Amino acid sequence: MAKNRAKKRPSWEKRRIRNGYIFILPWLFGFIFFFFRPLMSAVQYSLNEINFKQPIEFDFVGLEFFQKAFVDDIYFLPTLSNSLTSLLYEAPLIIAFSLTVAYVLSHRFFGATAFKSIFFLPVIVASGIAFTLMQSDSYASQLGSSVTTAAMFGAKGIGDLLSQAGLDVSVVSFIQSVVDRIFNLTWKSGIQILVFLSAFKSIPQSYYEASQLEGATGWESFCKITFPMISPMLITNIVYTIIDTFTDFANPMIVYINGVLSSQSGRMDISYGSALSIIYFMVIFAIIIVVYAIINRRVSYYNE
Amino acid sequence: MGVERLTQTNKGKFYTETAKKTKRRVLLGKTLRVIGSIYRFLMLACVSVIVLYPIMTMLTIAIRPADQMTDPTIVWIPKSFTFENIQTAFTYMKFSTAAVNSLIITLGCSILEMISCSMAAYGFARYKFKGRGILFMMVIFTILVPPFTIAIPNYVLFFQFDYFGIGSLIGLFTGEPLSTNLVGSYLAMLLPAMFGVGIRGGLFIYILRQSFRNMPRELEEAAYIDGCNTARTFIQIILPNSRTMLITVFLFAIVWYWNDHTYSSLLLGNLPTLSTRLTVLQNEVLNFMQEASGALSGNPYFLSAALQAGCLLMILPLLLMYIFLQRFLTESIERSGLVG
Repeated sequence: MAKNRAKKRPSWEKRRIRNGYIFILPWLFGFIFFFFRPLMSAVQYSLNEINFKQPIEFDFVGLEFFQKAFVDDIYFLPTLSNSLTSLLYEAPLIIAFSLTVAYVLSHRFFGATAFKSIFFLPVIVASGIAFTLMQSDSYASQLGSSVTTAAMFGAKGIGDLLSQAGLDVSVVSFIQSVVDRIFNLTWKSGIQILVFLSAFKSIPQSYYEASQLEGATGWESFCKITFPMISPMLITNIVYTIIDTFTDFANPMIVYINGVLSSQSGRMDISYGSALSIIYFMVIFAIIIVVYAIINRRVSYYNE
Repeated sequence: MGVERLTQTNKGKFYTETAKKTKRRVLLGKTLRVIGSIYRFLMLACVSVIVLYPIMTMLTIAIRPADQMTDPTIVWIPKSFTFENIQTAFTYMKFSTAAVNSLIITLGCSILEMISCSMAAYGFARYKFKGRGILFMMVIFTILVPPFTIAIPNYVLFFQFDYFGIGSLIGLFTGEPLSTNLVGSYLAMLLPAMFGVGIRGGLFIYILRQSFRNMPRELEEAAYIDGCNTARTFIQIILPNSRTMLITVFLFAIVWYWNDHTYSSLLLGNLPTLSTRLTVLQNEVLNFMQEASGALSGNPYFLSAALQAGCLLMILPLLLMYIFLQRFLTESIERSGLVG
């Protein structure tokens, strides 16, 4: 009798395992059919020459398209290095900016709620095509007023001033390009501010009280309590920023690959475009793994 | 006696001096704090201008009559208001049809994605099974792969949709694979969302998993002891208890689906949505103007005004939603902790 029951109902552990599979089953199904299969086809496209007949024919050419990207294409490598260098100084600036703003906003003061809702606005608006169009509309910035975007966020004056002061040209151009991008950087850091803010709020207040009793200054408690406590979220934010910058509409590499893939440019080449996007993805992946490995060693996890 | 008096006076002097010092220090601290808060306010106000600038530009252009477009005396507030630009945008965006389509897709996809993602997140958060680590790596992997990498295969997939491989399997026996064209129907957007791989599905699974992991196990154990089965525990105990996070993620899903252009321009074909109509708005207006007047190019300021009005129409529902829910959004993120 007892044996029969045991046969009918699998053990608690086994049922747990089965239930776990049931819970992730829909996602697994979707992953295989809507993600893994297209990804494999993309790899297939990149390895084959495609003949658009009925039915479509594939001629296996191996790594020819990958070779073409590195050897024949004169635009690919410069564009890639271009988007890599812009990441190199954009990502730290976004992180520093969002960290500062989030730290300021995490305190209670008059108007904090209003400022918070303003700084979260980019999360709502900036992900859309409307924002891209709004910004790229060159006539709108000339309309009606002397307050143009170029005059407001341009840095010609600063450049002249600094080069008069005797700074090196490369330093001046760096500062100038940063000031030119203040607008974009601010608009790109909505989610990061949000994540940092929630990280700040999750630090127990008693830590600060204890450190204050021991005589720590504000700066010391920031360096020794706040910063280590938010370091796991710091790494999340860095990875998110890298992905976001790389997959941005305006990223030169994305523009280039879309140009190859789209029929408007007159040189639609699906195989080559797929090869390019796979290379690009590999580069992103490698960068993220390197950055993660470097930073993760210095991150302190509270539970470990 | 003399000595005593001396110490007393010294003591008194000492006390008054310390009192003065403390007073001065308190005063200094107060002024520093006031200066600090003024500085903070100014800094935040300056940065807010950067955030608000494009939105203010959009607003002021969208409500400006055509003859005041180039008026140099107007900076922000025009002399009179008009709905003409908005009306133009409304007609050429086919706003009513496009908005209904956008609404159906946004709401449908967000709800379906919430269901599938919360299930997967719960599975990953609470159950130990073989391959969990690798499968969760795959979730992260879906976040990392940029959408355009699989854009064309995705289009092909929906253009010759083979019923999840069943059609192709039949094709192996009969020689004629069964397929249907889903490009241009709602299903092309709804199906991936239904199976948790819609827009940023991986990110939602990640966030929800963090919040499920944070919940005390005792809740579920109590439910099991009271005789709930797994499904009932999940629906009646787990989901209601993490509702703040669920609603936050749901709002994100709505925002991303409403704003989406990559997928909807690829998979929806001629089905108009707000984002796809907005990109062709200027061309449509230009075409109409050319046909009407025979001129080769339209007034660029008029086109620009139409575009800004179109952007306003597209963003307005999100802005309204944000204004009503922003308090909830900011507070819930802070309290429930995206961080986990």
